[in-house]
Amino acid sequence: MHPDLIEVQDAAVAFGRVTAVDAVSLAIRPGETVGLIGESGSGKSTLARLLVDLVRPNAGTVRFDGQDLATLDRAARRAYRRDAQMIFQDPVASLSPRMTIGRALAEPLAIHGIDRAQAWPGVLELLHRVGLPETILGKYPHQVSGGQARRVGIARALVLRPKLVVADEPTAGLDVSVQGDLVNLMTELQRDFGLTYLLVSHNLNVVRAMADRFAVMYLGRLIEVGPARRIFVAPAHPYTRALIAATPRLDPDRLQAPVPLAGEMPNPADLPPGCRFQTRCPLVDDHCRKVEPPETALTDGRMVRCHKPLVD
Amino acid sequence: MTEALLKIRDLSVHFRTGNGTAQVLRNVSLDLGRGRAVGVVGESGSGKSTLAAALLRLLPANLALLDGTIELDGRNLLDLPIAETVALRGTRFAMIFQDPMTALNPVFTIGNQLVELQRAKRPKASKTELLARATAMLGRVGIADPARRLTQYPHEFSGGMRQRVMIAAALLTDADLLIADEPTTALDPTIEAQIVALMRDLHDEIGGTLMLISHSLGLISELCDDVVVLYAGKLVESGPMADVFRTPLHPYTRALIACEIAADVERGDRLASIPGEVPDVTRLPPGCIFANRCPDVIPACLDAVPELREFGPDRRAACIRI
Repeated sequence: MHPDLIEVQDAAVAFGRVTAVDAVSLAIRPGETVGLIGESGSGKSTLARLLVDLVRPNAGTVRFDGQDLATLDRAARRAYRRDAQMIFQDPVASLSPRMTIGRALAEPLAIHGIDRAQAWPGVLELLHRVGLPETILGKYPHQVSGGQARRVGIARALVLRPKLVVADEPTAGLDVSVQGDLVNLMTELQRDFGLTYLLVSHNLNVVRAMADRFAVMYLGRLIEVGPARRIFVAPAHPYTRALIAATPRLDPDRLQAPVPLAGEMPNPADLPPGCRFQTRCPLVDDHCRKVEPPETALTDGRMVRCHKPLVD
Repeated sequence: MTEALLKIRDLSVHFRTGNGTAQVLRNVSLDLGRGRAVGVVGESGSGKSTLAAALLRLLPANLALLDGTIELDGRNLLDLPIAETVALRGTRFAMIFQDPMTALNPVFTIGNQLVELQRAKRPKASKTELLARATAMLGRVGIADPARRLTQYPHEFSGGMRQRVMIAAALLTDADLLIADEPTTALDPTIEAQIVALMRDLHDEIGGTLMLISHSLGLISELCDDVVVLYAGKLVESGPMADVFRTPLHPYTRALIACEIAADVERGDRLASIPGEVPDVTRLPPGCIFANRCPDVIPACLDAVPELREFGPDRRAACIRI
């Protein structure tokens, strides 16, 4: 097996004048969980879709198990599409409203030409594993609760026994009382099925509970990548620091008064020269406004794109 | 306790649904203290948005019951003719919604809208005067170049900027009560932090009474003086924010606080949750509404709906086990 399960190299994805993903490189090792963090318009969802072949790069390469996806023939691409699955943010919207949960779970089998009768016991086992009763099979997506719909989405992604699972905001919109259950379940499934996760979220708390490494995106660029714990304790990029500080925390004594960022994000279709964070960065100077910082390795192996990293 | 601006007593709101009558709020009593920021916290189905809708009389047509009293200046708002309660919006009450795009009119400029909403209270003021107030208020909520921005349309503003416009709009009405329903839920975290800081500064500076509806304990702890915890249509606990969050009394409040992800969480840590599901409010169980999920439940909990009891100054909780 290749040391990286999936490797994105210098990849770019452009939609019209906006380059949603711009010269991004990211490798994920088997069994690892990478938390991809960023806000609206950062390109995180586009990067996630790149990994599961829902968008193709305009430039650069994506390798799965060492194989360049651009060179795969039809059969190999089909196999890769089984191996790399996505859990969508809104499971009710991602499932057909006219299809029962049972049919939705059987559909991936049909698409990949797998004998349903033979595979069905495995699907039922999976259903139990994600904590759903068999009675749910006859229901329609709108008849199940938010938490159950997420579990259906997870089960459906695992029906084909993938290696890589990309989860886009898996807990967004869920009540906190069920959020923990879902995170625990995903952690257990990773162990039981040997999964590799890319977890896309703007909720740092949830990502922290699951990720080995963080990858932080801002306006199409990865701006910091490294061990989750290190980044959380000592962020190197001023944007990462602001994002961590902005995470709402139950703090009845108001011990920490967060200092919010000033300024606005530039128009992604009309980026200024220099660093993309310059309009909101508290440390910005003339150099930052002229020259975009390159990817730099820190002593602890982290990658950061900043002229003035907060950590050496 | 500060003097109450609004006294809500035994407020019940029911709706007709295909499955029967949904008893969305049941006998809710609370005071909104003058000048206080009161957080209403609850999960989906708690009735927190219905509470705001009842104050503003923005209840849907399938309303089956609206009972109790909402007292403002000694008058019960529920006794007033509907036209009079409508007239309170934009004069005594102002609202900040989760999605400002649904509250702003896309075909009028921001300036036009910020002028018109002031007319109810200032019918004799000139347009120039009202525009000047709008310009000053936009500047105050942190919008650069406010005079030019007033000539623009809502779609020309980013999400965070639109929410600032909404806050400016609410403040321009000089309302006594500002109701904010999940005002930052649709925003990105760094933008949310900016809006939270703005709301805190403005509340400190201007005063006024704020009712903040949110599912986020973090947001409420950052902004509120008092907190009210709703669960499936019942008020289960209320009190000063720091007291409630430091020493929660009701098992639901305790469980909710336990679900907050700790600042030192690490990969693989098991997270807390609340097992079970919220009861269907069209088919209420007997006794305490939280009994089916409560870790402290005893048979007596199923006998009767627990009364809201006093526990020290301004602290109330509805649980027989405390």
